[in-house]
Amino acid sequence: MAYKQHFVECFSGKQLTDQLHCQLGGTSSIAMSDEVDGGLRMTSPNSTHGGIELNASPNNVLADQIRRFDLAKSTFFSVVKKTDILSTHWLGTGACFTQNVGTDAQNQYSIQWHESVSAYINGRSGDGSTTTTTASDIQMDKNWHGYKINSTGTVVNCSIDGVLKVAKTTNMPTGKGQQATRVGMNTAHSVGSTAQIRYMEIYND
Amino acid sequence: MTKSIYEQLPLSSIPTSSEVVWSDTGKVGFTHSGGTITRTGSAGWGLSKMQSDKTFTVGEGIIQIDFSTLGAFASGSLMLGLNSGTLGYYYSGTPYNPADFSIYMAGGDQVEVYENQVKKYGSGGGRNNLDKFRITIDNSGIVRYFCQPLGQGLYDLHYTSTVIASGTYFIQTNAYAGNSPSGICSSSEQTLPPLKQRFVETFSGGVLDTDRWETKNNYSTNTFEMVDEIDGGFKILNNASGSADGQIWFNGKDQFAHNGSVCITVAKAHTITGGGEMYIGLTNNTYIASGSVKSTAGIRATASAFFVQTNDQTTNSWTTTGVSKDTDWHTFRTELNGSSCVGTVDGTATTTKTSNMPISAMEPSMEIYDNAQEVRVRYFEVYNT
Repeated sequence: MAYKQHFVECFSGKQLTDQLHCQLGGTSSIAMSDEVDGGLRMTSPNSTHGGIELNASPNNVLADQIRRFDLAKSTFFSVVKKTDILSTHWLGTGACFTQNVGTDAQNQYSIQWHESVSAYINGRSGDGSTTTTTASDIQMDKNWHGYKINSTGTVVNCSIDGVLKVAKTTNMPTGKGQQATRVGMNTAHSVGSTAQIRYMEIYND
Repeated sequence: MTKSIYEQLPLSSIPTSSEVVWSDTGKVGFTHSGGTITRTGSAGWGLSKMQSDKTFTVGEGIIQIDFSTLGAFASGSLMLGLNSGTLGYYYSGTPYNPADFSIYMAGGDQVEVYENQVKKYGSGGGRNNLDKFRITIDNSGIVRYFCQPLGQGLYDLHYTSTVIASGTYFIQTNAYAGNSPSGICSSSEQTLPPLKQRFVETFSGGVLDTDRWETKNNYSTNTFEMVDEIDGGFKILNNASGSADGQIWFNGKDQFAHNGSVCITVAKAHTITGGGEMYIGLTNNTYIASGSVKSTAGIRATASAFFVQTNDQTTNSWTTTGVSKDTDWHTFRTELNGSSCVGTVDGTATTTKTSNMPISAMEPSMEIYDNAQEVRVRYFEVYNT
């Protein structure tokens, strides 16, 4: 069988590769971290909806989205650390049809942190009209974790550090999508929302 | 099938394991002491079976079993692997239930893979009593078979099963001969740890990837360009004299550990003559050739030889690898473990340097020093351990 679409990024170098694009909201910022195992640092400012997202598309225009992965038959990995766990802060890592992974009603799958939704790391999927969440038994913390999401069309399997934690069968995504990781906050908070990412991989099964 | 890079990488390391606890339930023709098992009684496939006390479920962490014959099973016909259902005999006897995934240590090949009594793979070659074997099942159910020749170095992947494992397995062993063979077996279940920082560059595009690399002219002008040759990679050609120096690096983004990292490069000292030098490896500063106030660890070449070079931010020093400088491509590897820098050239000529170890985080770098000197590189990989 011919090798299918496959993307890998290790976030090493002086700055973000041009194979990924960063959709900045407000005064959000990114910078390659100058620390061992630090990867890329993403910082959303301390204001309402100060979101920041890494994805494959060059801009926010719907017509310009670049989507090569099958949301119903693909596998996604990321290694991410949330450096703060505060109310209104959130993080989403996975794949989505347009952008705003984990937040909008769109076809998507992701692993989500959202302190105001659950104290636990969640599995999340959307079928284009409804997006729903299932909590794992892993509490949010400030450590690095390896996330894996395998979408088969009938189940979205979410693993944390190699262990299957959520097998979600409702609101299954379909159609094409792009890799994405997003950090931000729902309402203003005195502290900005920051995350680091040092690995992202996605391929069609 | 497209395979994950993420899930394959951890398999190159040896995880923490513990000796298998063998069960006495249903045991026939074996004794055990810790992880060591001994075949007892008369010969016959229908006279031996034993299973582990512990079971392993696919999807709950990587399943791995390691075993060796310690010599004795070399003539004793041992089958060891993972099975499901009920513990059974291998070729005859009741209940009959050969292992779903197993390695046979008696046939003519170094590695023979049997699945449900059907031979799926033979490596050729002969077994050595020191060889070690490994079977893994990843979280996707992919079963892989490995061998560590002579019990040293990395495990070589020999065969990947076409059968996807699912459900719960136990370790099963069966042995034919009654000549008191013995072997040892360990197992582990490890979750997939968050991958550490990693960097791979193959220098295969039209121009240098300047999102990752910064070019640096230290007291000179240099030519930085992709080479239009088969296997040509990328080059730095120095265009000035005196203390002229050219370098590529990450412009100060130090993500790799001074006390736990590996750097692998494929490079050549294309033109290193007179007082010329090249350096390839890790650093946290520019102008590596000039000496102090920087951490470095890597390979240095002069007109005469290749060296392992380190710098503890006070003293820059190097130890010869014993390999004379030439203009061939070489694979260079340096590993920092906290107390030493172990360097190899083309997998041999190991040099262990313990003086002037780097003291802070570093980044990939390649550098050329002096007029008309040229260095080429076509592979650069770094990862934290």
